[in-house]
Amino acid sequence: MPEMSKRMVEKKTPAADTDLEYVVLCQKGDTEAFAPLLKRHSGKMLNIAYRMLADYDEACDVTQEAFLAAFRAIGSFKAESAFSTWLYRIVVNSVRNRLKQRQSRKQHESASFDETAECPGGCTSCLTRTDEGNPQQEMERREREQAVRVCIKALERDYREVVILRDIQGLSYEEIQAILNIPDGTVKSRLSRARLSLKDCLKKIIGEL
Amino acid sequence: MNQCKDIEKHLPLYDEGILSDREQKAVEEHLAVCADCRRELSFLRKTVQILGGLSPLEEPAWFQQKMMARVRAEGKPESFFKKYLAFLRRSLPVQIMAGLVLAVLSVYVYRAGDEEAGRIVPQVARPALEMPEKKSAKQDMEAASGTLSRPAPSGREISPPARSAPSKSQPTAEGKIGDISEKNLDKRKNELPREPMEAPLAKKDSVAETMRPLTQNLPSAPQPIAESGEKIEERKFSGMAKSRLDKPPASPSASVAQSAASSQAYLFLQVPDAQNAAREVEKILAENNAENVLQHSEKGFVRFTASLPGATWPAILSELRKKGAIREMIPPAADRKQNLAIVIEISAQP
Repeated sequence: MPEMSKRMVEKKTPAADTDLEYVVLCQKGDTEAFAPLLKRHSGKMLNIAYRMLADYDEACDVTQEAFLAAFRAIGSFKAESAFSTWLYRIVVNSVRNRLKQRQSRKQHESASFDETAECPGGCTSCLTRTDEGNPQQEMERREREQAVRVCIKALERDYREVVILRDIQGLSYEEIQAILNIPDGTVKSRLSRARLSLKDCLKKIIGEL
Repeated sequence: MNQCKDIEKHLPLYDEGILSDREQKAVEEHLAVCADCRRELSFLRKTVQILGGLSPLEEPAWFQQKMMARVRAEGKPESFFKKYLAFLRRSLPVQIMAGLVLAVLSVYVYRAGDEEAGRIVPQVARPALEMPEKKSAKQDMEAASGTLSRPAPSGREISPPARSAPSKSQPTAEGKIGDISEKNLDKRKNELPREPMEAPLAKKDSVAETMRPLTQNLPSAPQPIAESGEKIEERKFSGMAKSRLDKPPASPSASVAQSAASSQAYLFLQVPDAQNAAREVEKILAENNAENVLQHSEKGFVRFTASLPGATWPAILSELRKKGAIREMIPPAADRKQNLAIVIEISAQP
């Protein structure tokens, strides 16, 4: 209980939008000012894309598209929300478009997911920060992560988005509302259902948590 | 059990602290007495913990460099080549086809434009290449005599001087008027249809030119006197007309003087009805033994050329005075024994 409260406090702490000065420079035509913005947010954007798509290469591709789209549209950014929120909205929309393309290609998502569950994007284990201590613990961690990917995949897209943004990326409710453009009550209800579904799913795969 | 179902809905958000006080209190009271719900809450907390503990993905080493390269390319202003010469990057077959279409269109438009210009501006002056070639004086004489002996030509072949103002193409037409030889007749016929609106000559030029063949063999005569006092200007004549004259006149009046000095007479008569007057003039000429009578008539205008004894001129003149007003006259030489070449032009009064 104390551990969870600590996490919540961390999540609710609003991050100061120090991106604005670079955004203004970009809006004035300074291309190089985009580099710090890219450095700050590329990791999180890639993670959001990857958790939603479950494919590392596709996630890299979508993240690049999202950054380019953001750079092209940076002139229209009016600081009504944090720049990061604006960026995450772009990447979520890019992911949605990619999922639609995937559906239109009639690609079997579950097959792709199974492949990537083993080694998404070629070598997931090489791309994730791992605790190289105890091999037993490392194996358990991998099993858990695989189970989580399967369960997240099993969620409906709306629930998946909320649980990824809240429980994996640790964004605040306000940020999630802004990114997904949905009301606060919807965010909470979706999150509640998503957590219950994930709990049931993980219980089935892992057994007693 | 029903209470457990109701409480379970609130469990996922119980730890968030976002439930209402009533919901929060109800959950706490239920958890204190229900071991199953406590276990479910434990599972939920574990689930959230697992999600939060997922290893973050690291981006590939090239990711930021590649992204910045794309961003720089995107931010670079469009080059001149990309902006204005982008069409060059299109596929070659398309360019070839476009070139062919343009070439065909150009030729078509050029030809169509030429024909159109020919239809619209037929009176455009022909270049000097189409002018009648120079002929010897002998050929000219033959042609001149042939003019008199031939039956009356059609109006198109010997175009009478129009009473309207001369057009810009007059010099070209002048060059063709005097050239009525048999040799050139066919050529002229071919040319005329392309020039339906052949510019008319000024009256005086036409008179001088028409009289010239008639007076070639006639002896010299005194200087003519134009009743109207106007000077009859000499215009440039090309081809046969030029060759006919060994020495072109130095002044405009010299040409008229030369033609008048060879027992010719000219008279311009203005009458109320040109056609009636023409019939009467024809009758008068016949009565006075006129020969080689040529008549050319068009609307409101009639011209007679004839050859007659010089002695009959006074009688003809007095008859003509009765028919209408004599506006211009070049009287013949005093020698009445010689034959006289006359030109009588009759015009309706305006």
